[in-house]
Parts: sequence; structure tokens; C-alpha cells
Amino acid sequence: MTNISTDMVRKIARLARVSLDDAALEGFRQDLSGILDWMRALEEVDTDAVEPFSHKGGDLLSCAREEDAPVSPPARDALLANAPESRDGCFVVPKILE
Amino acid sequence: MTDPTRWSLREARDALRAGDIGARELTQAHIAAIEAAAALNLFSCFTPERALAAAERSDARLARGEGGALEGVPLGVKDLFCVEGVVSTACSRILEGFTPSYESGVTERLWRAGASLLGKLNCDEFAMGSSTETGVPGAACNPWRGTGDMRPRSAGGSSGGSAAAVAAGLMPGSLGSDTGGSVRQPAAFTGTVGIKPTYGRCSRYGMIAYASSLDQAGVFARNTRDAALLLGVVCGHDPRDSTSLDAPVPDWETEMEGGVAGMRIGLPKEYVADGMDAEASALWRQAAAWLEAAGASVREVSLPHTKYALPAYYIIAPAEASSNLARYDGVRYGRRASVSGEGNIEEFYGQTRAEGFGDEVMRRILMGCYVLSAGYYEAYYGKAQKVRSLVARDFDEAFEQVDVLLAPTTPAPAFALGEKRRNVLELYLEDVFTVPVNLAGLPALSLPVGMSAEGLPLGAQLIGRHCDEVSILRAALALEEAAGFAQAPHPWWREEKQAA
Repeated sequence: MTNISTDMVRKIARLARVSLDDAALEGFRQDLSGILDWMRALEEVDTDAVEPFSHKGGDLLSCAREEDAPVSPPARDALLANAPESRDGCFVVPKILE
Repeated sequence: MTDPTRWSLREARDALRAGDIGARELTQAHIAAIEAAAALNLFSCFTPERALAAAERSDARLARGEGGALEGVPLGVKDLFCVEGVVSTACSRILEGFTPSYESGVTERLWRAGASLLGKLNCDEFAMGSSTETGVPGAACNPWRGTGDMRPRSAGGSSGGSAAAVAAGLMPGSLGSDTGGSVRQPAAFTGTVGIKPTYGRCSRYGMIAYASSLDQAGVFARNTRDAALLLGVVCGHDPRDSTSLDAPVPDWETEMEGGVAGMRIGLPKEYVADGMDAEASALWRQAAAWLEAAGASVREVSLPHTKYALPAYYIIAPAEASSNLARYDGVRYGRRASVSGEGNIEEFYGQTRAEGFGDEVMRRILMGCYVLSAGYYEAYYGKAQKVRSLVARDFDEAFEQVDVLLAPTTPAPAFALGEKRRNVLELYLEDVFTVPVNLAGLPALSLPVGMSAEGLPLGAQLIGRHCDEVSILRAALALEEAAGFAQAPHPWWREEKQAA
């Protein structure tokens, strides 16, 4: 059984920027342990000589190359219209610097 | 006149061109059908005024003998595509009220072809699910019910609203998206045709991202020719999507008529799940016999890494999701937690995201973060990307022997709503026959080929080579003619509304 610790779930929740209480952490800990256990089937597969996947036609050489031409971005006010809070043409966020 | 809500997409298009019906009248008939189907809960945002305004413009163009390939046809799109000026939320609380200031690549093509928008359709939150139960609107209901069994059935997911709306006659076609089976599984559950084209055929510009290396738009219709018509409209290169294929889009409507004489069909022997429905299995063999009778040859092939596709998918897709969904921070759009102003920024993000995401999305974000984190990356993500290469190689080898693969779409017909919510893994297993195709980036479709004994549709899946949609469309047409699936669900939702 793959058992991940509560501390590990707390750590990844912090990396993912989600605030979870202890009950939620424990629920996800159980779920993730079960899913990770099921994923251990992959250990049977010999992948020593295998390259990671990339899409056909997805290499950099075949990527579309466009002429560099200026385009008009959407108007500032149109973008700010979706912001939960804005002031003086800016997004409002909590204070970051002490 | 017959009921225009039962017309096929091409019948509607032809009637509009011939002037047998106006776009406004056709649109009103569909609006009335939608209003009578509120019990099915298929919409996240209903836009009748917008559809009627577009219909009036189409009527003017049609009167002048002008108009695009879908002029005057009312459609719906999964609430995963940004539509300028229409609330687009991926059925998530975190995107509450988000009204895009731009148009997605595929919907832009729909409107340019003259189609109009009836509304945004219900789906699982951020397209993560196989039952259309986890979004803000709540569970979408399949118009099909079992014989003598009143339990509401799942429409499948994540594009359940799009599939069910077409099956119920609320629109002749719709758009969905397919990251791990989210077009094909709902198509199988609702007796509709659903096509996921080759990765890169449809622009991902303006399609709210789940797992970018797997996400692909797709179409639903009530028959194969309609689905091919709609697919031809939405496919094509888009420089705004760096993974968009710069390849010509064939004239599928014409090329699909070539028949299956000499076509080599492969039956992947690994496509047998534990506890697979005996009927689904028998119908699969029957479909092979139908293709053989139409002139194709059938043989068994092996895709030996099939059983590893699902665990690899549930590493890769959450990894990409955790990265894509990092953008939802409550600053630029959507919902923000009320802790703003005071408190620190990390708490602000944490609260915003905890309040905004549902359980399944949260589970995938956490899983994605875990498999990408230092010390685990190679063991999980790196391993899964190598297994993905092996899954893709299996297909390449099979396609040296055959032209098209025929498989079941799902292990069983539509389950009752709520039935699989208890166990996370049980719902993941719904995708067992659909996920390998996404990992390899291949085109595939599902079409209805029969009914289960309990009166629910069953689908067959056809898988093609990279960029060879033509062969799967030809095989689908042959199967469609042999299977003769013409059933529509009994409109119980109208009767129950009248009775209420």
C-alpha cells in the first residue's frame, strides 16, 4: 500500500496554493494513497530504452512560424471588467510587501 | 410539416436553403424544446435572445441567396469554449461570472459558417469527470431511461450536456471536448455520434485548458454525415494555438462516401475489461460482422500496453491540470475569497482556490502537484510519459496491419446517476477504452450500434491513423447503415412537465 503522509499532503496543498482543513487533508490523503497504489502497475513496464512521448508533427521545426507583426491586444478596460476588484486601471491585490 | 427538432443537421440546413423554413422559426422550435426540457438540466447558460438575433441576420442572408455552410442552424457548445460576451465558466465556481472579451477558435468558425448559439452546455467542472455531475449546474440527465426503470441515468462526461441535448432533440449538433474520452463516452451513453479528431485538428485557442497535450475539441450529431459536416466546419489551422496542425482539412462530406471494400479492420484483443457487459461484447463482434459483410476484412490485433494507458493518463492529465489551473488566483477574473485586503497573499490565494474548486478538480490538482514535485517527478511523470510512447507505438504497429480499429466505447451502457460517485477509481475506469487514443493523439469516434436489453444505447468506437479521419468516417457510415439505429428517446421530460 502506497501511504502518503499527512505532512506530504499538507506540503503539496501549500505548493498548489489551496487552504485545506485537517479533515479535507485526511480525505485527500486517503484518495491519493489509493490512486497512487493503483498507479504502481506502471512499475512492471520496462521503459529503460524508451523516450518520453512527443506528438507527431509537434517538434520545434514544424511549429508554425509567423512573421513578427504587431497585433492589437484587447482593450485594458475590457480585461479589467472581469477582475473581482480593480482601481485606477490596475488589479487590486492584498499587500505583498511588509 | 414534421417536427423540425427531429430533423438532422443536414435536413435543417437544406430546408433553410430551400426556404421551407426560416431560421427564426427553426430557432424558436428549438428554444421551445429546450424550455420544455428543464428537467434534464443540460445548460449552464441559455441564450435564446442571442440565437433569435442571429437567426434574423441569417434569414436576411438566406433571402439574398447567401450564407455559410451552417447558415441559420442553432447549436450549443460545451461550457468550456470562450464565447465573447457570454458567461463562460467551465462549470466551475472559480470562474463565476467570467465573460470573455474574445472568441475561441472553434466557435469563431461556427459563427462564421452562419450557426447561432442556443447556449452553453453543462459539463463536469473543468471537463474533469465521466458523468457530468460535478459542475456548478449539478447533474445533467440522460434523456434515455431503462425500460420500466425510472432512475435517471448519467449522460456520461465530461461533455454530457452536449451529448444529451443532441439526443433529446434540443439542437441538431453541438461541440464538446475530449481529453480522455469526454466526447466518445457521452455519445455512447446517449445514442449519438461523437467524433474526436486528430490532436491539433481543432484550435485550442479560447478552449479553457484541462490537460493541453490531450485536450481536443469534438462534435456531436444524430448521424455520421451530420457529425462530419460539423467537424469540417470547426477544424483547421489556427496560428494562435502553437499545437494546431498546419495540414489541409479534407472534404470529409464527400470523401466519407467511399465505402469499406478492401478496408482492413482490427479488433484489439486487449479491449476486454473486467466485468464487461456481455451485451457490449456481443455487439462488438456483431459490428465486426457487419463491416465484413460490407466488404472489409477483419482480424485480431494486439495493443499490449493497453492496461497501462489509464494509470499513465491519470498521472499526465492531472500534472498538466495542476499547471494549467495555477492561473486561477482570484486577481484577474472569476471568484475571489473574501479575505482580500487584509491577510497575506498566500492565504488569499489558498482561500480563493479552496472555495473555487470542487473535490474532483482539487484531487487532480493535488495529484498533479505531487507527481511533478521534486523527488517524484521521474518515478511518476517521467515514467508515464515513457509508457505513453509505448501506447502510441502499439497503435503504430497495429496500423501497419490494419486501417481502422474497432472497439467498444464503454464497458457498459449508461449508469444511474450517483451510482459511481462513491469510489473515485471506479469512475476513472469508465475511460478504459477511450484514454489510449488521447495518449497517442489519434482520431476516433463513437456511434450507436444497438440497444441493451434494459433499453439503453450501446456505442462502437472506431479509431484511425494520425490524420486519417476519412477511414473511420467510411467505416462509421457502413456500420450506421447496417445497424439501422434510428431510435430517439421517449420524451418523458415533456410529459412530466405537463403533468406537474
